[in-house]
Amino acid sequence: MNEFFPGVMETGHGELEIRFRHFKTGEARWMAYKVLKLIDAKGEPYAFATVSQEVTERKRLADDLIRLATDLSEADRRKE
Amino acid sequence: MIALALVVLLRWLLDPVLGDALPLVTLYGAVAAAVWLGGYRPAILVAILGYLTCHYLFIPPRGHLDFSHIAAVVGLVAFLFTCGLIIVFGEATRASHLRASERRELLRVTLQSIGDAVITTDTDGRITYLNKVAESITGWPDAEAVGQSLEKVFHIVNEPTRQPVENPAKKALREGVVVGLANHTVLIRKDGSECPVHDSAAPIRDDEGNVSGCVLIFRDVAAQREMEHEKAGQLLTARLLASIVESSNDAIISKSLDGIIQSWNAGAERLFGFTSEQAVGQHISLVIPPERIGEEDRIIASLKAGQRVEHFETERLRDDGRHIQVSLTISPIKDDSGKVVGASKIVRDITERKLAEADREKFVALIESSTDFIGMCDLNGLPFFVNRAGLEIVGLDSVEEASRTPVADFFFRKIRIES
Repeated sequence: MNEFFPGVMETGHGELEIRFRHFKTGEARWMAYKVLKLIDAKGEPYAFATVSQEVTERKRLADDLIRLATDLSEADRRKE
Repeated sequence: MIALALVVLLRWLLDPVLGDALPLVTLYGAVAAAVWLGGYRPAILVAILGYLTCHYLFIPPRGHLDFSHIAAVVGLVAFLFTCGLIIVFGEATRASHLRASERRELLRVTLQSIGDAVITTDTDGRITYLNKVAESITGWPDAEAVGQSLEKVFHIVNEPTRQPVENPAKKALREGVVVGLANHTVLIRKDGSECPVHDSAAPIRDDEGNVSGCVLIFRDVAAQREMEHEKAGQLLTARLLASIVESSNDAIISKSLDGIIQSWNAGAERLFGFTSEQAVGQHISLVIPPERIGEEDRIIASLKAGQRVEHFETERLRDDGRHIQVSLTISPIKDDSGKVVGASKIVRDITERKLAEADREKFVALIESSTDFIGMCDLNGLPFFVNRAGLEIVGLDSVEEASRTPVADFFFRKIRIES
């Protein structure tokens, strides 16, 4: 995890699924966190930029699917 | 009358010596004195009264006015003739003397009241006269200056070099010609202070044409000098301003209140395409699109009220018909009395800026309407921009609040950003 930003510095970009925190409610939001390194006219890095999409819903669906799959396999085992 | 009494007394005193001889001799002196002091009328009176008195007193038979002797009549005729001559010559001399002294007085008063300083010298360069202005410029009072050598009172040096300057009076005396003074001459006053002067000197010639002295005329030019300096300074400032205007990147135009273009700098040539020769003398509507011509009237109205118009954004016309976006700053031009006589106009081409603004607006619209979290932070992980959707996702109220919140705090898991 601590290698993420050094990686962005090195390669110019990086991507990570990470939970953002809502500062007021404390609620967690899953984000597809995409980071770019910005460079100035001389080629020197001066900032990071991000364009990140919220993936909480997708993540929940995926978790549901996983749970469903787990349940189904549990049921299969019990049948045996 | 006193003279008459005196001479009669004198003759009486001399009586023992002279006896009866020359009874009228002392009267001639009295007549001469009377004509010199009082003119011909008192002289005639003195002659008649004197004769009667002396005849009565000294001509025998004494104590009588006796004209019966032929000698007495001849004596009277001779006396009258002599007195006549004395009176005629005496009167003529007296009149010419009076005229000469009147002329001298007129000259003296003229020289005293003249605006220039005047000093006269004899042939040795010793001061014989100086007028009031000369006294005040040199600081030497008349009483002390007269008799001094001219160099002492009229002490002059060349201003920049401090070298003594040859006294123009000396040259005028030596060469017998009128001499003007070189410029940049300063007079050192009696108290050591200085005064810039302009002067000239001329020899004084008597009736035979011989040089009998010299007259020096000079003037305090400090005020004139100061005015020249001021003028030179103003000229320099004007040139400096002109060169600033000419080298400015902005278009700088001046126009009269009726809208006639009076100056047009290189920046205006570049911006509008018209050369200075083409534009000067034309009406300012040359560069105003027809649909915006009404703006000019409003601008002129506020100028007349003495108000500036600042950063007024509008459109203007180039020589090729293209419209350009400009920002105008218009200031009234006032004459020395404060009256508004025209306007200076600084025109900045903001076409590029307008395009950049339009571009920026597009990007801002795109980013602010996105539902993605879009943000930027510096290399230390402090945000400096978060879009609207981003603020909503993390529950922050403003970019300002975000900028105080390190990116690392946005996550549940700690991640290291600073390298």
